[in-house]
Amino acid sequence: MGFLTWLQETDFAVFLGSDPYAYPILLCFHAIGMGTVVGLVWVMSARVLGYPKALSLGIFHTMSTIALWGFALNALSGFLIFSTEATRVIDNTEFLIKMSCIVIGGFTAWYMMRAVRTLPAGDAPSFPVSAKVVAVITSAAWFIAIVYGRMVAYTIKPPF
Amino acid sequence: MDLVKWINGIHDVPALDWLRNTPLGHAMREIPDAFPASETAHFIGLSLLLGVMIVVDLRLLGLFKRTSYESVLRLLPLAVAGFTVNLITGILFIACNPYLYFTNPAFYLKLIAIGLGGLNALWFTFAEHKQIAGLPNDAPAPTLAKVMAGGSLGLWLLVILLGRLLPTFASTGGG
Repeated sequence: MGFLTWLQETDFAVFLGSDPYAYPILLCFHAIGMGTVVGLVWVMSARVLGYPKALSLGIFHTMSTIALWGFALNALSGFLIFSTEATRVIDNTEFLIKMSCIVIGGFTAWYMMRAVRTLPAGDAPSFPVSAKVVAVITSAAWFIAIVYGRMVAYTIKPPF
Repeated sequence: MDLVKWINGIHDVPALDWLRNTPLGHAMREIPDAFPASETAHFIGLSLLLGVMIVVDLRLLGLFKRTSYESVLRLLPLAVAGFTVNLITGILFIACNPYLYFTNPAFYLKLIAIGLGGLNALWFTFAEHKQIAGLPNDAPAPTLAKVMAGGSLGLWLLVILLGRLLPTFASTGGG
């Protein structure tokens, strides 16, 4: 636990945790990044599942780029939020479930994008069942990540 | 800052007392986990709304030229679903503790931003949707539609910011 203790005692982490505005602003960025990543993953999954069928797959490339920027925003804001109380968050089961869902959601979203790239762009093709299953899994993983993320706020041990 | 002081001191409003005592208000306070569960649903709805609006508004602004306006606009029911979830859960939060919200200046700003975003969406639905759905892929949207698409994205992001900042600007006294 040496590193985490060091991390949460750095001047910057202490500032983020104690300044009246820094922490809420981090939460704002985290909410916007969340909506961007998860919302776009759901839209892409909906298209893989066949809704709206007319949506050209050419759109996926830009959408996944924007989703990645949202992810980067949340990796950064999430790390900074984590740094303010690292030793307590790492002991929180809900947080670990959330992180597992993000790893699963990330890999399955990447796999879904690969399935899209193997199909001709511009057409309105149907996806194989395997791609549809992955779309459901990735959507569910991101859904559960939000559920457990919210639960962290209610289950984390108080500092003293 | 007199207005902020006045808002912070709001009390004994019959409509708010009534809302607080509705079965909805009681349920939110008495059912274990009703509040966090509603918050989670509010986050889910937020993500659905933002994800769809990013795609629709950026298409109107000139991105995603390879896909038709018509097919992108077909995503809008998902945004309406997200908005509806958030309208319902939002009312549940307020019913739980009306004074917590109506004494908070950020809450009023959020309501204004939601109102403008809603009017913007209604205007698009009734005045522009049909025309834009019929545009060919490479035709730019009318300037007014572009301005409103930019406004839409800006307003929904502002709604999220203000929502997340509600606890920061909650009145500490009264209520």
